Amino acid sequence: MNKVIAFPNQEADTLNHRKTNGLFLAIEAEKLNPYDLETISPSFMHWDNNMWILDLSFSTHYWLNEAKKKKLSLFQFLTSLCKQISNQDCFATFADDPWKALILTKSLKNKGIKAIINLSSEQGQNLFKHISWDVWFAACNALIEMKLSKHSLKKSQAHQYQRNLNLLKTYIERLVISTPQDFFAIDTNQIQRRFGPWILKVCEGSKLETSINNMKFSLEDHPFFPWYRYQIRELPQVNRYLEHPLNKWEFIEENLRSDLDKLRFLESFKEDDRIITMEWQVVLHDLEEVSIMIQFRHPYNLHKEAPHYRTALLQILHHFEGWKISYYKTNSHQNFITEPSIISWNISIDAQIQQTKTDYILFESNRDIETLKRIENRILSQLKSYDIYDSWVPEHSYIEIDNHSDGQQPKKQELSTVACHEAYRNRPLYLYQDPQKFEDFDHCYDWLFCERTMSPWWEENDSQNKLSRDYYKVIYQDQHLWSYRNDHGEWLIHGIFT
Amino acid sequence: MDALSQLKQTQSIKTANEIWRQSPAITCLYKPLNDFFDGGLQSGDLIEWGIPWGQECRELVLHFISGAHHRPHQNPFWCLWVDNRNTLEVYPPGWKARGVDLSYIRFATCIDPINELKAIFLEDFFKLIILDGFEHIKGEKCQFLAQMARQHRFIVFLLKDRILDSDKGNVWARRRLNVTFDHNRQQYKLIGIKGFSQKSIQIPMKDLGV
Repeated sequence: MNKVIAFPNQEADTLNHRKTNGLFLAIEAEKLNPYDLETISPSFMHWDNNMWILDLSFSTHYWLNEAKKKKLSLFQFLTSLCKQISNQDCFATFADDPWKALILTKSLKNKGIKAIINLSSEQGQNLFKHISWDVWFAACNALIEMKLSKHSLKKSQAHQYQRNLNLLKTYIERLVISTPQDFFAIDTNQIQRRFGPWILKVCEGSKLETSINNMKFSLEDHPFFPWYRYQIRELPQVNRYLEHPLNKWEFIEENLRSDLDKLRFLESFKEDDRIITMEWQVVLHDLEEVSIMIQFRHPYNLHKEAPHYRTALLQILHHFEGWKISYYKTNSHQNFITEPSIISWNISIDAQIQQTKTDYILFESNRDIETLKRIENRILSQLKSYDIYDSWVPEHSYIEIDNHSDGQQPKKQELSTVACHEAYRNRPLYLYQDPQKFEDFDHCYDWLFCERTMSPWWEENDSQNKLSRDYYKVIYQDQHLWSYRNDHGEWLIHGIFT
Repeated sequence: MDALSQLKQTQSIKTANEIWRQSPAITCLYKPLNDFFDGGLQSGDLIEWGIPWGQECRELVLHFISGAHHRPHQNPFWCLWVDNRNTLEVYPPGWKARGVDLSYIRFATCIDPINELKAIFLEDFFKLIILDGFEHIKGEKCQFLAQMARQHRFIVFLLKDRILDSDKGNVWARRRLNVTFDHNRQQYKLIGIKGFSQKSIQIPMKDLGV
């Protein structure tokens, strides 16, 4: 089946929840309510009695925006949400991989440290380094049990894995290897030869320095961790079987509108639910199935838009047209290409978030912001907004609010705001994303020295990060350029006075 | 003197057009620039600028954005700046230092703004929309923009990276002008092509604080 992902150009990384480039939260607390967890992310799984793992990549985009507004980092913000749902009484870990989040949380519980830890912090890394073998083996055994119970592992395979784990146990006892992290430094070929490929995968995935992030595979295809999404209720969906194949949007739209209306009245879809992703699965006249994923930039209120559902229909239209273009391209070798006609479809809500608890955070009453969010849900291109950080280094002096990847705010320097702004006044309106090498400076005229910019040399230990630039305003081929000479005497164009 | 003029003189009657245009929606802080625009920018106008790239002429446009953000005793207007420059990115501190309030401006980069941002033109949220460097916006697309601007009373700046030709007009633009920069005299020259009562104006760069 073909999958068409929403907003494919600029925001695939931000919005495509199926990649493991996101964030996971493992949380262990007594009497956690799945409905409370749903307010943080619609995708989560139950591990054991009181342990839950949440895939935050579904909602990171929204929380990042809200955290930014409250001048908090993403982790500070999510920590406050965790405290709220667990009544301040939990063991929890944020990590870029569900397995790492799980074993660190189990380790916290083992040591009796009631805390919410971010694995990427120094404290998190220290704790991770000292995870004990007992915790690691217990988690591996639970992993095998989980796979067995979900029938994704044969009994014979499970026995094999258990045997290999026992072998490993004996091995580390003989060699007196104190922590798993010490063991993982051993040559991978040796691990595979002695204990099999599965143990190797788990060892690789438990290494502190391995970032599964960079591998960019689907969460469903994780090398060893099984993701079983907890279905809190039935998936809201509507099927339609058409009497005649349809290919004109005006007719499709009419039927879709009535289906969205049906969706609205389903028991599984409540009035305070806000849609994050929708899936429109269509069956074409040649029985080819196409799945169109529609992700909304901001949680979408279907009830509020009744009966016109303009936002949802506009997004479906954008993606339908995008799919049609790719359909014609792939069939361009045929002499006669017939327009694709649809004979049936299924429209379902893949991920939703409840308004109840997040009401005061996500669904604020500022009318301008509400309107802006509605508009952003309807357009194809992304609107960008920026904020300023006082820094002399031009590329560090601002951040793009929506796409600031890890939610950590850049370190703010103690600079005189007035002096900074005076410097900004003499800088251009546009910068090159990558400064361009500039060799033809003999043909420039009107050289004007602007400023000398240096990175905060008094703070950084790494000499590679230190920079010193002399900026000049020059005119080259009637263009007013902002160029600089770096430490190595190279000339680069950094910006343009437009 | 025609009948309407007589009536207006005696009974101070205003035509619908005069009521529509009686007070400018956006003004800037530099008076000669406002005067050149007959007091300021009027809601519903589509203004086509011939404004060569890389000559600091966009500083003048930023004066109007600053004006939209600093309206005395009134809420700021939301502004949208759309360009198609993929190798470049805006440098927000430069914009802020020129009086732009970054919380009331949004930026977008796209190839076909009418198609990609259509929903924006169908309502009046953004009061000043700047489309920078889109040569292909003409004919029907320009007509659509002009109609939407009139209907929803927002202002559209269509910035072209070249000097506009006075022979080839644009019926959908209420005003058309060229902006050039005289490097020797360090001054901007604004030449009205359509819709201006003054033919041209020269603005020293230092007067704008550049």
